[in-house]
Amino acid sequence: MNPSSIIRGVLFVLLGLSTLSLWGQMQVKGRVVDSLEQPISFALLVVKNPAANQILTSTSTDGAGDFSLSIPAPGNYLLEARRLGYATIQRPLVVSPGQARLEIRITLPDIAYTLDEFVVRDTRIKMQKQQDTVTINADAFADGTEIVIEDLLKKIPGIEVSESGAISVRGQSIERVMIEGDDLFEKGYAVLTKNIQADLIDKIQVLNRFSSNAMLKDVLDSDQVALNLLLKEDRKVPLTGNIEGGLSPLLDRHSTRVNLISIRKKTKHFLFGNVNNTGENPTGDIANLLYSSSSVPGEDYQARNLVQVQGAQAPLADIRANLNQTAFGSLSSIFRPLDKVKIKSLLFGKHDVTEYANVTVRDYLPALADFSFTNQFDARERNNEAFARLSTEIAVSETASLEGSYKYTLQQANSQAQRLFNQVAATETLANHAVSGDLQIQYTQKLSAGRALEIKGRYWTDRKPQDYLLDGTIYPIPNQDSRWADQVQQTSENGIAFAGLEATYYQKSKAWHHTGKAGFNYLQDNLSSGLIFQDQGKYAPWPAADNQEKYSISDQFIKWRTKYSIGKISLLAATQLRLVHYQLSTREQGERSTAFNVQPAVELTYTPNDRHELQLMYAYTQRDLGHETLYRSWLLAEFNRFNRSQVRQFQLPGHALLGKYVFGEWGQNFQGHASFFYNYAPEYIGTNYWFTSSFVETEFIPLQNQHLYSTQLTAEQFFPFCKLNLNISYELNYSHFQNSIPPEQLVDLVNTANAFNVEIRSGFGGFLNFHAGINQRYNSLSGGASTQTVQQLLFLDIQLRLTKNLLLQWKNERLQNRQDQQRPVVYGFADLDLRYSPRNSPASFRLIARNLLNVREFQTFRVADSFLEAQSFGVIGRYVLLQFNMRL
Amino acid sequence: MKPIILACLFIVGLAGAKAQPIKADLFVAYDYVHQFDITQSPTVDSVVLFANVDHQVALYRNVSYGKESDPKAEVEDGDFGMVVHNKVSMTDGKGTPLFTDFLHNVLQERKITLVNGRKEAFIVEEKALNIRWSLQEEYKEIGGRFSCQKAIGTLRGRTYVAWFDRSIPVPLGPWKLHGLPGLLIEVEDTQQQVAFRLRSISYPCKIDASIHAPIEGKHVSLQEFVAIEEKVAEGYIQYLQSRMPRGAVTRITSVSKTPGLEVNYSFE
Repeated sequence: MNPSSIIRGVLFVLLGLSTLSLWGQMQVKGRVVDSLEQPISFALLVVKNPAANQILTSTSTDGAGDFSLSIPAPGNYLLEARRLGYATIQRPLVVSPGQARLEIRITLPDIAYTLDEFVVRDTRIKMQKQQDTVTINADAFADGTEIVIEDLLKKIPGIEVSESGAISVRGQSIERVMIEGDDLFEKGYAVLTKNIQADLIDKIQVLNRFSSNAMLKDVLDSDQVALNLLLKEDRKVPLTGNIEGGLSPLLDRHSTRVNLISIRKKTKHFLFGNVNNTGENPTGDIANLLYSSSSVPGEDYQARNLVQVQGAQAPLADIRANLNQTAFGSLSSIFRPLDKVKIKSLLFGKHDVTEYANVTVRDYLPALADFSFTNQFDARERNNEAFARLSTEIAVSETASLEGSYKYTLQQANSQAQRLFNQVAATETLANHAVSGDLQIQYTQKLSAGRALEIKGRYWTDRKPQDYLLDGTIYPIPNQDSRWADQVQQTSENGIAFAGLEATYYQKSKAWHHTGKAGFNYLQDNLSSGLIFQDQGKYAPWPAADNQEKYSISDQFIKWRTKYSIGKISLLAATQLRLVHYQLSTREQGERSTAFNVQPAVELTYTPNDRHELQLMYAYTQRDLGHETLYRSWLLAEFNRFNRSQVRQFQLPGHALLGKYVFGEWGQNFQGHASFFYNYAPEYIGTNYWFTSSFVETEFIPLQNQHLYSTQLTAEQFFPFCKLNLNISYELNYSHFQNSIPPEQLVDLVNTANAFNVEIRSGFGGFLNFHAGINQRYNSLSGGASTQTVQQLLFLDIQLRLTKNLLLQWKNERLQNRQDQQRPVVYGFADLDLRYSPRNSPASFRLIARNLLNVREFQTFRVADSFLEAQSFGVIGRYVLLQFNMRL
Repeated sequence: MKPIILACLFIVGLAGAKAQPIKADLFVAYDYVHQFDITQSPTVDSVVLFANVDHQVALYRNVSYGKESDPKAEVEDGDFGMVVHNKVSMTDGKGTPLFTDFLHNVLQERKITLVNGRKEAFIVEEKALNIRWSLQEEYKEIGGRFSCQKAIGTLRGRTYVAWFDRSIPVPLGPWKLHGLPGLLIEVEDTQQQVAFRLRSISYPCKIDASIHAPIEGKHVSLQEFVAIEEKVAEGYIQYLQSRMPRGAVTRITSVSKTPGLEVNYSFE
């Protein structure tokens, strides 16, 4: 092909294209009018291909009835004009090549056009009603960058994950994260969501209105939310988890934590271990697994340790005050042998050694006794604890479930202490052995929508035997002043056996919510103790300190609770009818008593709008007295304090009144809260003190008229212009009661506690944030003379986000404790915490420096019902810990 | 300059509305199904569209939110008001109507947002939208009454698959979805988060309803309103951070990923 023919060809194509483009720009303009030549607006014009009846282009007329259409190519078309209230007109539209503009006038004749009211009766939408379970496909949100489950959850609209791993759905914290319907972690779910790989997850289910008992789902007033994760069919988790290890450069402080998780189709295991001497209490990490969230019969009853070796920890956070060496391990497992059967087990073992270093100076209130003592105390407590729980859940049918569990706890604790009491040296040893077994059975039957029946049974035993020895001549044998005890030895045991059966009926409708309960509880509480003094090698049992008592409470009850909500008002009324038999048998005598109680309670809540809520509550109670306030013979409760009871009744009445007003809703800059609580006890348990220069005898006695008032006020204001939040709160507690000193002299005592708190926290986002505050507490006791303690805490916490992966927290505290007008003791604490968490890396690092000012001793002042005490405690000194965390 | 123009528009709109109240001659009710928050079941709201074809104006409003200033639509049809809102609804009892004046190419929507912890009403103004619908050769019948054709269009981050009926010759639809050669009967977005389905229709309108621009609220442009909402979200993050308890380490980067009908805006 020669060049000229190529040029000709190109020119031909260009010419052709320009012709086509000319056609493309051709405009059809026009006007639509009615039969009176008035313009019609909003008429629809459509250009169709007549052969295919296909719409090529469309437009509508403006206010002047004008329209404009672009025609893509020459040809024969159909122009259609339509308008509500007018007849439809169709006319041919012939567009010839070369024609650039076309002017058209269309007249639409009026017609009586109506669209009769027509309602689409389509049920599709109605079927999409609110579901409580929403299932989300993980694949729809995963983009391959997720590593662990929480990375995936962060991408799902409506789900938020905080830096600590706490998950919320629509702003509400979730109850738990289950895996294939099984709950291994309860509230400690972050172990799961921070460690399990995201690509194992097939579906995420959001369980709205969640109830841990599936049968009570629509029956309880629940607004809880939980997540359930479904795994991909072929993917299971053989073993995963994380390891965290920390060591100080001087090798004197360490903390190691291991979480291992294994998930298979039928079995799931979670192993947790922690070894530390940095004050942490690892039981807290599995606390949610240990204790049931629902109520069980007899939950208020437990055996007690009757004697204490007085070691105390400073009233500071565990990481400062707990002088520990702890090793802890737990294994939680779920096994599903059949679809409808779930077996759960939890085992844990704990060994720890805790040290105490206290110096106490106690001044008894002059109105009671004019004496004081000094007590220096160094103790070491070794504690071994083993726990096992086995439970089975059976889905009997679609509407019924059966659950049974057995729990066994064994604890052995030995304390050894050196004491210097008023300059006299003594040693103390205490051996605690505790053993308890707890069998629980629960059957739940859903009767119909909004109605359910629940039956619970429990048999529970708890024994706490103790052996105590005080070796040292620090006080005379009571009532034998001439003879001093060289040694005091007490063997004691408190043990309970409880059996209870109760049935609960739930009924819920739109405005009403009823709960009825009927049942029977039986408690047998045995207490035995014997005390021996040794004087110059001779043993002298003290007959006045020989307890062999059996106390029983047999309780038949009916309870009814009704809540009625209409509009802005909600009214709750409850009544409890109880027929209770009490029996207390000592060696010498037996006492019996029967009581029939009616205990009403009423609560009114008025919520006129989202900004205000007012609540008033009144309750009358008859409280059972525990064996610890009833035993008749002397019992050594601590090294120099003997207790016994003169109480001859088994119940205490009480009136409680509560008023509460809340202003402001979440999201508003100002929120406030005021509450008032008044408690009146016509009868209460007071104390009769017999003081000697070296020991105290206290007797529990019945007294009349105790008043307690409490008021709380809080106000919170966010200032948007400076992004600061100010929180101010005030609390007043006032109680008026009496104590007794012989011979039968009652002393009026008033305890007043005020607390004032101001905090300011920034919301700058970004690089720097701070939180500062002051907290001041006054506590005074007056009875004749008055005494007061003051505690002040000033704090300033600074948070620096140095880079995206590097966070520095710097915490500073200044604590000041003062007694009356004496010179205050002042302490400063400073901690640094630097965290480096590289993105997309399984490892993270942390540098912790605690107690930088190296405070070794902390002193507080305390006002109790009869004395003022200055007590000092040993605290964990300065240390640095280098910590790494590795996801497996 | 911009505020002056907006103020003028407002005055014209208000004066127009006051001078001759425009009566609605077309009434269409839709079910508005949405699931922006994936953790919840789809919500069904009742929405209505009043239009006057001669004046080329339309008023769209949600009648499921609390009490509206014009409750007549609720009275008319017993099927309305079936929705329970779990969230704090961003309304102030006066409704969030959307007014479109096709003749003057103006769109005004009343919106409520939390500014400094208080609900504040805005009248957000923009030009009437022109969606480029692509008509498809697919047809279906809906509800035994409407012969519909398929069309696909994109608006602010969502692609809509719409079904319209040419035999009802008005280029109207719910919300801002206008411009088809027939009434929009059913529409769904491709992410399946939003759908409108016609529930009832009448022409002439039996309800004595007037169509006017929203009145109560501060007039702002869409750009200005988007900036306000961004500031509100930022302020909310600051608010949350400043109310954390002592020792809580947080980095809240976004309050919610829950989008609305409009996912993104392109302000060219």
